[in-house]
Amino acid sequence: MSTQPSGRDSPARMLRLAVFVVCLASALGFNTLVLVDTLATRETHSIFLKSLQERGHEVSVKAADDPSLQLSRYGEYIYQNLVILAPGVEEFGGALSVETIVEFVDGGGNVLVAGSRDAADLIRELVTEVGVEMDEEGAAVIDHLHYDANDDGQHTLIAAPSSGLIESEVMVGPRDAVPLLYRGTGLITDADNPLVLPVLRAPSTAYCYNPTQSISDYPHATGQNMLLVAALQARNNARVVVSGSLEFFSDAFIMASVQTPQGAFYERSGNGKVVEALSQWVFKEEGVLRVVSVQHHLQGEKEPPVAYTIKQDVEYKIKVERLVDGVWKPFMSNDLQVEFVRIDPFIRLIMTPNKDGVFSVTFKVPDVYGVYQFKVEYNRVGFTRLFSTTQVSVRPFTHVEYERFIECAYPYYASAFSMMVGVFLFSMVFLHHKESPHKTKAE
Amino acid sequence: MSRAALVILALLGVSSALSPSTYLTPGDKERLKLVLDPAWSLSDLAQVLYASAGYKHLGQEIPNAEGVCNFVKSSAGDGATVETLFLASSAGKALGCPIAASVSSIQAVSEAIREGASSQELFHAVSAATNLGVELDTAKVLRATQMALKKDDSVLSLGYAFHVGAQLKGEVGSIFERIEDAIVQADEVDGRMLQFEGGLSITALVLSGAYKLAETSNKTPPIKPDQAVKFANYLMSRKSVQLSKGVYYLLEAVSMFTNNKFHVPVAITLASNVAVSAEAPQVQVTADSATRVADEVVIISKEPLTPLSTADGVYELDVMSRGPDRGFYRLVVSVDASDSRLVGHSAAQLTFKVLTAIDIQGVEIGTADSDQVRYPNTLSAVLVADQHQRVMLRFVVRDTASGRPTEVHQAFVKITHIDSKREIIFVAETDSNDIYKFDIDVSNSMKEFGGVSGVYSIELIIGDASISNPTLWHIADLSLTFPGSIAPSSPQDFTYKVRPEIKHVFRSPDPRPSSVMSTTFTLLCILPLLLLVLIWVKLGVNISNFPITVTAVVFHIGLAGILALFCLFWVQLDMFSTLRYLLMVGIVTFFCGNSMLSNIAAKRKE
Repeated sequence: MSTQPSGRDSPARMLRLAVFVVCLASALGFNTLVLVDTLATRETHSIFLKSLQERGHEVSVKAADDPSLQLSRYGEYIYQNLVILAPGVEEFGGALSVETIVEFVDGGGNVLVAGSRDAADLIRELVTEVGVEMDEEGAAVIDHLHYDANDDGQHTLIAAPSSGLIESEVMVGPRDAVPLLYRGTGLITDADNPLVLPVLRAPSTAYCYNPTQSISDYPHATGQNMLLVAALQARNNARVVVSGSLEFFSDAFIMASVQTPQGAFYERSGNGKVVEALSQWVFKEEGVLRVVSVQHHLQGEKEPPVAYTIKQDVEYKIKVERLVDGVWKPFMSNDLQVEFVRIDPFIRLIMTPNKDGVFSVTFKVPDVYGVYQFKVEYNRVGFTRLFSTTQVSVRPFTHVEYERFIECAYPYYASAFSMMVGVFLFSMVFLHHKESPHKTKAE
Repeated sequence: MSRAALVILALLGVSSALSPSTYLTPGDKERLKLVLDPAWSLSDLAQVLYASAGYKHLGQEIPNAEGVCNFVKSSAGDGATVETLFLASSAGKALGCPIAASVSSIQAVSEAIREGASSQELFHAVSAATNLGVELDTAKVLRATQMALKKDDSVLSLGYAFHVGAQLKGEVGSIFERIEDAIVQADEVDGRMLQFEGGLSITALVLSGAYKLAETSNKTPPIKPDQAVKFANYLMSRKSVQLSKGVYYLLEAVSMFTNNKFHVPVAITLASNVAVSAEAPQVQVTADSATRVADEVVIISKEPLTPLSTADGVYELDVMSRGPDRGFYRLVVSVDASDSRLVGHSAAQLTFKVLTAIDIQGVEIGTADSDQVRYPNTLSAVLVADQHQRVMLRFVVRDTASGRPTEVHQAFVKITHIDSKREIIFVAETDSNDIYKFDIDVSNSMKEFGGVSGVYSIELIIGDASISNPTLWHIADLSLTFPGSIAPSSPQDFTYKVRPEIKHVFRSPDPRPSSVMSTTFTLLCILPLLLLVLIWVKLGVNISNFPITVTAVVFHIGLAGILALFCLFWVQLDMFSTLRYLLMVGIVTFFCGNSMLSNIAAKRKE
């Protein structure tokens, strides 16, 4: 290349640069598989799909029963994200099944699933695997006090107040007073399962039942115990979002105006912003943390010692970064804690951050020796689980490190030293004493 | 022209399979216009074409028409490709600023019409030629089109071919015959829509091509009326399209549907809100029969509708004068039209509902004895109940129109713990007299309440799709006491929270004796040495026999050194270095001591 004249070289270099940029973009981008019932969904949900593409996703839209579907090839996942906008699918095509999707989640893949009133058993089975239960077929979320004016009469087009959204800006964006449009089935989750997050709760007055049948049994989901959108962040940080409404993500709902029975009118529903924020969250573009470096050493030093001795002053530093618009930026927070653990935590302290994202704390090593860990575990709603442990050993004082002279032991020291002085003096006197002459005379 | 046409499409309306269910409302048009607007930055010729044609269909003024026209003209200069020529000339046509045909562009266009070109290329060339006013050789174009279709007979290719055919003069029957081939490939969605795989643009392209071709060849297209309705349904379902290209095709096809010689789908919709209530008693609609969905009671049959003088295409029927019960009604509407082009106008089904207000009466709430509460007041006293009691609530929901007790879909009692905001919802049930009853046995419902004592608020939710005043009414507050429950003793959950700080408590050092004690005993310990020295002084001890020899001096220095070494060992040396030093000092001391002692012994013997 370098032997060529520079004039001819520059287009080639431009080309290489372009190729490099394209490679870089595809390396940073995510591969996202979107499964649909009919390809018309590509058009009815174009805003959602377009926003994915604009954020750098390689989106491939396929029919859910396409026989060529596969998530992994040669043991590696081809896609990082899976979107299932196919509530009606009776059986997945190709290599896809509920089991492979669960494996995909176990392997760290992110999934977004939308259901509907008439969602097929397959979708119900899939969401049950992530701790969410859809109400039975035909049941719809009904709220006679919070419906939109465009409702078809059964009050199933819910204008859910934004107060039902989870309090997490990372997941649903900044809080906004605009209601969200929703038409579909209700979701039931186990309140004791801490991994399932209630993204959007139904209003207190809502319930889920077949609107054309009168209520004979207690509805499965009522009031705020019913979720409209639920999320799961698994222990491996894989994220799953389940919505009981396919239309929640549709262009029609995103572009629609909202008019509540109470007379409030909103130019645009809140769906657009929430869908955007939620899809950023579920595909790990938001709320992702990582530990960059961990340092620990004695106060005033730079390097860690082989082992710490009890009661020493130690300084611990951890650098944490957060993914913001695809770039790692320093993370700021006032509640990051470090634990000094030997089976149980002996010390747990909140660390002080600086503007470079370095959190630091100084403490005195406990007076119990053993093998310890510096442990940072940061688990907050919307963020990936941050976990870091560093093992160090703590030993007792060596014999030279104890107090050399204790006041109350002075009698012992005094006796020992006086004995030594005595021996020296006595040996002198014993060996070299000269009897006085008069005594000799007396003998 | 197009604007008026679009409104005619909005004639009347529906939600059945056989009639288009909606039309382009002014709001829709405004939104479509917004999608087109970015084109006026004049950066992309295709966008400008979509926008100018779209504006024309919407009947909108084009902003800065002269500037747009100049942009279009400049892009169709010498050396422009056939596709650019097509875009520019079509945009020019839509804008009303015809592009002059230059020699080179005429040549480019005629060269493009050759055998082997794809039908899209042919479409571009033929359209450009028509727009530029170039004469076409029909036979040659037909031949080329047939070749293209032989090579690629996909729906898209056929769609382009129809458009080519529509622009030709003379006999185009060979292309017209292919319309049927395309139409059979349409997919049905939900039994009420027809579309071609590939979505809006292909569907719209094929439809407009087919109808235009049919018009040119003056034959009815092989599309059945119900198919036309289904295609129209599909087009209407796509009115939220977000791409300017999609908007262009949508408007093109819709205006074609409103303005052709064969099929004009009629949308029959409720002009007023879907719900009818006493405040707005007139359903502005056409009617055949009206049936209550719940019990199939027919309240209207064969009733003519009166056309409304204030608005075209709106007809009305007074339903409320017949005193219908609340509920959903199915209205079957037919339109007798002399215009045989209209499709989708017979037996259209509409749903409307009759709303009534309800009143909650006879409300009694209490434990042992009941208190009366009137809607919408809240009981002033707080009810108190413990595990031996039951809390009871009775009420009647009365239809204010008929005055009879009625059942509603949602009659829930919501009990909320005031401090934790935890809510428990119960369903109230009716007895045979339509009186709603609800009672909880406090001791049996500990599980629902989680055994948490405290003040709860009791709210009644009454809702139904066919009542006009759904209600959330705070009836009373209830203080519940469960046995043995102090506070919720659930284990503290810190899953997503800050954990409490832990500080290590260091072991405090053992207490030590006072320094007075140790000083006293230290002195006592030194005392014997002092006494020894004192007594020796008194006795007149001396070391006058000290032999002035090297060995004696070295021995005593050595001995002192060993003792000093012990002190050093105490203070800083470790055992091994002490032993090393001791060995060195010891050997010297040993030999010196030996020689000194033998000297002393020898001296004594003398």
